[in-house]
Amino acid sequence: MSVRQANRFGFGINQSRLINYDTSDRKVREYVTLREPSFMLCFACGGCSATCTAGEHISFNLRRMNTLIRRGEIDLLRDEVKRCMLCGKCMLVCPRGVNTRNVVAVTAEAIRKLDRNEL
Amino acid sequence: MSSEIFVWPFNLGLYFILIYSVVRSTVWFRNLSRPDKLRLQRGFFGIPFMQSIKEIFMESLLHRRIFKKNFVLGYMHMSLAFGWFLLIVFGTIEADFFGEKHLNPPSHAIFFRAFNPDHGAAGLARGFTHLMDFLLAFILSGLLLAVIKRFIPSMMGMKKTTKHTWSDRIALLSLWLIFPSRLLAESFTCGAYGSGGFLTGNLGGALASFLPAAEIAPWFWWLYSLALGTFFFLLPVTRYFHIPIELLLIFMRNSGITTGDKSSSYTEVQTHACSSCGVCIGVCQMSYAAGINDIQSAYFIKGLRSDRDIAAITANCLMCGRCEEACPVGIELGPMRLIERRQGERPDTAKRFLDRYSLTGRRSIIEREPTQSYGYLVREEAESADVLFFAGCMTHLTPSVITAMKKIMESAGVRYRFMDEQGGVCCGRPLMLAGRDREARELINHNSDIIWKSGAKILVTSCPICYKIFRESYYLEARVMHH
Repeated sequence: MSVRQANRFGFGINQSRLINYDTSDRKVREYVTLREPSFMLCFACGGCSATCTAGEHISFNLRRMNTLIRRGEIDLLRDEVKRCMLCGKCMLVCPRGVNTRNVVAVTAEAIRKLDRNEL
Repeated sequence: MSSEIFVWPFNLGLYFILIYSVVRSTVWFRNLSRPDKLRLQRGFFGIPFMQSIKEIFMESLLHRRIFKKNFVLGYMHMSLAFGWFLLIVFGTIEADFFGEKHLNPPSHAIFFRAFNPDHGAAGLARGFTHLMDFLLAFILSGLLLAVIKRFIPSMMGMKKTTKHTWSDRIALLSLWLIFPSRLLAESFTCGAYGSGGFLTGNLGGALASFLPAAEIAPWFWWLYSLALGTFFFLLPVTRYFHIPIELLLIFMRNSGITTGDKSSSYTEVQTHACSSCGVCIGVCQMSYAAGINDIQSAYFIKGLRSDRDIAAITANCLMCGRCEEACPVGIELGPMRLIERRQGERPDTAKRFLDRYSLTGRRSIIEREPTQSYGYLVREEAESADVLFFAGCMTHLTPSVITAMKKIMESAGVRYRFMDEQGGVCCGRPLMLAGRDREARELINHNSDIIWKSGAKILVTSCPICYKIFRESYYLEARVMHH
């Protein structure tokens, strides 16, 4: 039974959340890690998310962005990346010295290029 | 000398560069905005004209700002610029005074010795010959320093010299060839005819004693003419285009034209006025602290000039402004980089080429898609207060400052409100520096809204960046103070 058929039946079922790392979209991840190699140092401690200015207002979260980039979930990433205010507090608290602000900037660039089929 | 064919490489080059510079300047003038056109006209026929002449003499010829940086470096630039200028002026006077007729074409002054090989035997003419020899020696001393600087930049107080493109290298080589070939050409001619001053006469005499000077001399006159011609022809595509364009820049700047926040003729004139001297590389903290040596303003401008994709260079800069302070030409490097950041990526080369040579002559830029980025921000209920305190992103990382500020406010007994206690938004500076002005404006509007509604008279910041931005980029009734 497909999702549409199930909806017509009166019950919704969630889209499959299965992420296959072999088939996921790796373009953005490769673009970002190439332009900002320090991104690979991230061990997802969440310091950036705790101090985030935008995160005070909305569930914006650099750590989640990291996960989305790695999983290749571009549709979610597209909205996420616009929320950052580029204030750079995350850069100051990052224990691994990741250039987080550039990660956001490069990700935005990657998505822009992806949308124009240049990636 | 009967045959005059050898002056033609020089003649063609000279007329080419004169016509090219005039046409190019006219196009730039036409593309200026109307207020800027009026400014330039007023500046050209007014008091700024004298200032410009003085600045051209002090900076373009004497290179005073480079002298302030390093004496030897200044001497090198001065001897080449001022020395060459004097050589042309006195050469013209000499040709006018001692030549067969007055008002000669430029080639007669430049190749005076070739046409008058036995000139300067006695009296005033002899004195003039010595003077010309002295000027040539003056330039050659500078040239020697220039060659040394290429290999040992530290001798002139420079940490690095600019890495040049191939066209710059060829132009540099022809520039280096001009003066030695003149020296040798004059020396051989003087050697053959037993004339000449203290330099060309003696050197010529020595060379003529074991070489057939009369046969060799024409070859060096050819070399001299070819070197000059090559140099002039390459001028528009190399950094040496700054020689004519810097004059235009000085007139424009003294007339009160500024870079502003959009790409214009003035930014193009500034691009071409850069001499790639490399002073900006030495002062750049990215160079001496991080070892990154390919993003400095000299390379940024070079990329702009040759219309390459320089998105990476443009973004990779701290915008500290040291290069702008050090620039001997006075190019507004900060605003130029911001303009480039705002523009985002350039379209691909083919499209750019078509745009460039289309009738409108305007560069097309890929428009950034309009996005609403901070729609999630909730407009807060305004609480009235006399004094507002804005801690900003950075102060939130040092809570002791916030505690101290609160204590001061409470002791002072003012009716205050801590604007971003529960987490406000950023002041907008980082977005502006990233060239995302529209997004920055969203944040500025959000903050302005809170400040206006509170009716506060004073806004206190505890971060110098916020202070600068609230002062310069916000339109507030409240007085902005820093503590």
